Amino acid sequence: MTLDAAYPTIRGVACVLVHAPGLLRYGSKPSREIGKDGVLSKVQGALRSFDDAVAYPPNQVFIGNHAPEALWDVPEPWWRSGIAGAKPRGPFGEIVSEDELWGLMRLADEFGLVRVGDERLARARELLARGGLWTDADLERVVRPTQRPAGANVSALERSEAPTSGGDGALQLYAADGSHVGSVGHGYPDDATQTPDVLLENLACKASGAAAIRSLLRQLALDPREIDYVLGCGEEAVGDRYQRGGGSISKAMAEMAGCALATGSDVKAFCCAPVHALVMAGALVQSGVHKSVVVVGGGSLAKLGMKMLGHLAKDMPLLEDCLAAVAILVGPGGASPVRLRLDTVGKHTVASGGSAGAIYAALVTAPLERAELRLTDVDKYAVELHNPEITVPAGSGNVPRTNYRLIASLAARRGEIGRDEIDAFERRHGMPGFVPTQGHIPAALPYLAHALPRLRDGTLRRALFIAKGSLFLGKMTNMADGMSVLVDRAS
Amino acid sequence: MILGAAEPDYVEMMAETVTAGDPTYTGPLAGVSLGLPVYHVTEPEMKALSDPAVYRDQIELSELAMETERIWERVRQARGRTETA
Amino acid sequence: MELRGKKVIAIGERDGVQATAIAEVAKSAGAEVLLELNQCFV
Repeated sequence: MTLDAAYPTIRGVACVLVHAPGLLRYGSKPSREIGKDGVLSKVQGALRSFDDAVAYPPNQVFIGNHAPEALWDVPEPWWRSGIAGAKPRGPFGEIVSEDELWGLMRLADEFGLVRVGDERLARARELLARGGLWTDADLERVVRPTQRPAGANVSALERSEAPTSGGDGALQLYAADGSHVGSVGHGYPDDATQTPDVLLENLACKASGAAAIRSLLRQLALDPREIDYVLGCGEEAVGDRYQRGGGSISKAMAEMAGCALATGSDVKAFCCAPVHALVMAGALVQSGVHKSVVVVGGGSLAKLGMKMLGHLAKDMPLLEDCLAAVAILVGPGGASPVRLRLDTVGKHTVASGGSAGAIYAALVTAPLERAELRLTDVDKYAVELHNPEITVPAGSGNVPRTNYRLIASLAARRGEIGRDEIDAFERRHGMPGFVPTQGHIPAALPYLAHALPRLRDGTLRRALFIAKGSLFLGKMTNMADGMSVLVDRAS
Repeated sequence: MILGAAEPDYVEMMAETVTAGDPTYTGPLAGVSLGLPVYHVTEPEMKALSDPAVYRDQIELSELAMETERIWERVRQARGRTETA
Repeated sequence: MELRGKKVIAIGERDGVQATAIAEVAKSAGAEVLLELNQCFV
């Protein structure tokens, strides 16, 4: 086995799903639909049980119990092909239940914003203890009394019924069965950037991201104090009215996860951020600034139930019921054959322009030419791996397939494959999408968890990770963004 | 209107929206018939009118990757309805 | 069908053809592009 200290390495990846059907009503799309006649009861009727979420084949792939390619052979619809005996733990991840989620939200809450009934907290504590990710001190914090906000009229806050809130009313929390769980309060009074729905979104992101970090630490049997730096790559906005996107949810996650010797910062690039962050983590390690850098993306509450109208129209369960989080540890090379090839970073520049040809030239052709590789030399391309069972019924197409067809067309134009081989490219060099539609989370990196053992044992030589970001959504530019990086095995 | 979406279902919905009216009846254009001429950028008519070098640089790769026949079918349907209206 | 001298609204998709690409094509055909919008469905 050849080792190579000229590049940083990937030491581990953790992929966590937090089942949150009760929070689905507060996703962006559901929150805009639920006021309409009959929608809430339709939504309630279409929520999935924890067992169904665990047995769902793409979720089993996400946590590592099956390879992504196994989905090619699972009869569609996948939601009817639940895997018998499926476990909520996998080689590199886990599926956390909603009962535990309420405890995680209390654990994430430093300001007495979240109220949950004592019985539910006791249950959460018990389950979290069994799950084995948290310390005794953490478990004690789950059941601690909520500190009353100074001077607040608490009973009014607790009784307010707004399903969403623009004023000082609390947001009520419900479990999947519709029973009342508790509430999330407002931040600073008269601060429109700290309404309960915003704080709920940020707390859900923090809690799921910290859970992914804990899962990673357990997987690698690592002391949390070994982590030097945490790079966030999610799309939440943490701040107040003077600094709406102040950030550093990464450091908040590091604190919750017990990484006492780390600091952190957030990389913001829409869905492209994870690959930017992976490259930056590699650069920090390779330059010797830090030794152990965690890249973490927390779950996106706003994206729960995003495609609900399409699913309801087709009598499908609401599949977007999980917060998905990923954590990756980057460390110095030399002890592992796996290399994060910092010399093959593809970047989409301001001058690149918006044509698919220019984008893929920047993200695929250019970096591979630098590495003296043909497109067909890459064993696997990891693109945006959105689960097509979620997107297709809603008319949003099959995102990975579109991307694979574009790469294949590029290869065909270069004469590397024939035009008649474009369709087969996704089987040979790609995979079916399997990741929940959580924005930055499907952006290539969940495949890194699958690639890692295969790169180590030699069954995979190299994989190209490509992410794209829809910067135009923020109305500051009409551009999109993209970045790619090769991960390979020293030979 | 010139569209660039890759998904035939989406192209159909957008083409309908700017011609006969929003087929989902959910947006501000529900029930409003704009009757605008709508094309998909990959259609032969678009290709014929554009500078070949520009077209090749901007569109060629996308055209190879898209299901152009299905896309053209949908947008022509929507256009046909306007032209007879 | 003519584009020369016509006004165009370009609605692109990030993974399809983006609005700036549509606009380049339309401009090369002599059209005036009034609006470029991009959509992202995920």
